[in-house]
Order: sequence, then C-alpha cells, then structure tokens
Amino acid sequence: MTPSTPKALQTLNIVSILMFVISLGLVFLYAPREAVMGEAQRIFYYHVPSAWVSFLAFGVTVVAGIAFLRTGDHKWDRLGLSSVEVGIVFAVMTLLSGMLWARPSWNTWWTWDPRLTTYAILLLIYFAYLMLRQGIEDPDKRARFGSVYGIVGFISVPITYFSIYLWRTIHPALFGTNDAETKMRMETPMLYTFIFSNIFFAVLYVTLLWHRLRLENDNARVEELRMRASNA
Amino acid sequence: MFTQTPDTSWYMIVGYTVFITLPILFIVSMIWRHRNLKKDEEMISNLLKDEEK
Repeated sequence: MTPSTPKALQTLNIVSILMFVISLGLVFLYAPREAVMGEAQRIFYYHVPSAWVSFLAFGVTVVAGIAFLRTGDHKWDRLGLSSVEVGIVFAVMTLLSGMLWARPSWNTWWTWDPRLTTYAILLLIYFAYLMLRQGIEDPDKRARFGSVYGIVGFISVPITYFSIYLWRTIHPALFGTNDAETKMRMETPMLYTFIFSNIFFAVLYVTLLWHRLRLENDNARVEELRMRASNA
Repeated sequence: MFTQTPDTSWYMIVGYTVFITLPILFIVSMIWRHRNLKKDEEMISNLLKDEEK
C-alpha cells in the first residue's frame, strides 16, 4: 500500500479543515442577510465555488488525457479518472444546492432553463465516463478511452458556462451582463466571503484529488498483483 | 413599498447539509475502498507466496 501520508498532504488536510471553519464563520456571521431572498441566499457562497471547481476538475481531466495520449504513461490516466470522480462530487453539490436555491427564488425545484439543462447533461456525461470505463477490461484500451472521452466530454463545460449568454435564461450571471434582472450585486462583506469560499473550494479540490489519486495508485498496484497471481 | 424578507432558513440548512454531507460521504467511500484494497493485497500476496512454495 502507499506509504504514510506525505507531509504536504497532511498540511493540506489541516489547511482545508481550517479554511472550512473560517468560511462557515464568514458565511453565517460576517456576510449580511440578503433582503430579498433571506437566508437561502447564503447557499450562493458554496454553490458558485462548487460549480467552477467542477469545471476545473474536468479541465484537469483534459490535461491528463492529452498527457496520456502523448506519453502512454498510466499515471496520467489515473489522474484523469481521479479528477472526474472529485469533479462529480462538486457537480452533484452544485446541482442539489441549485435546486434548493431555485425553490424560494423561482418557486420551483427545477426548470428546463439552458444553464440547468446543460449542467445536468454535463453531469450525466461524466457519470457515463465512470460507467463506460468499468466495462473495459484491457487497461491500455481503458486508459485510451478515458483520455479521449475526457477530452471530448469537456465540450459540455464551455457550453454550460456560456449557456446563460447564448440563450434566454432566468439563471443569475456574475460577470458580463448588463441585464438588471439577472446581474448579481454584492456588498463588500458578501464579496469577501464569496472570494474566500472560492479559494477554500480550490484547496478542498486539491486535497480530495490528492487522496483520490493515492487510492487509484493503490488500486493499480493491486491490479498488477492480481494479474501476476492469475498468470502464476 | 417595504416588503418583509421571507423566512427561507430551511433551504439554507438543507443546502449546507448537502455541502457538508457529500464530501464526507466521498471521504468515507475512499476509506472503505482503501480498506478493501488492503485486504485484497494481503490475500493476493499470500496466494503468491503459497504458489512460490
């Protein structure tokens, strides 16, 4: 099994926990209650970071996929797979919290809005990545498939991100719109809380990815042992 | 016209429950998978040792 946890990862674990506690403090004690939506608006401080971190995770899978196709080194495939899995955790968080935000603000749990629909499709694409991979026995084929799928599947990320600018939507936009109805405005404490939450989520992603990658390395080692045992 | 802020605390509580629960479930699943791998490794290593004998 993988030797004891590296010092850097131990530090990351502690930093993640500390940042989590601080971010909760900022969300509940520092940021003011929003006048129109009330307490449910606080979902926003974790909803947006979890969404962009899921994009980041799927982006890392693209980089890992390209690196695998160029080098044939399976460590890149393991990184790609680990990043997809962590990305899915953040994507599910985004989707569920979005529904909880939508109910009080739009009076519905779900609507086929372009942003919601494209994000749901994105999530299904990456669930399919995990399921289809499992059906391939040969490790080389599986890694090649994962790399190509990870690169092609990433097309869903820019489509999801730009959907609110391309089509009519009720989803709020943080950047690049002058529409008073969908543009979000934040007071300074809200902005600081939001920025801190984004940094926290990035750190959390790196921490979870590192742990997941170590698990995948262990998995590869056991897989190799299994092969040796079956050939013996 | 002044309108009262609605009480939407329930949505916030459930929202943050989701944010906290999902990563914990993911971490628990990693620990569980790690334990299973450890067991598998031990078992296969023993099998290989027996084969060598």
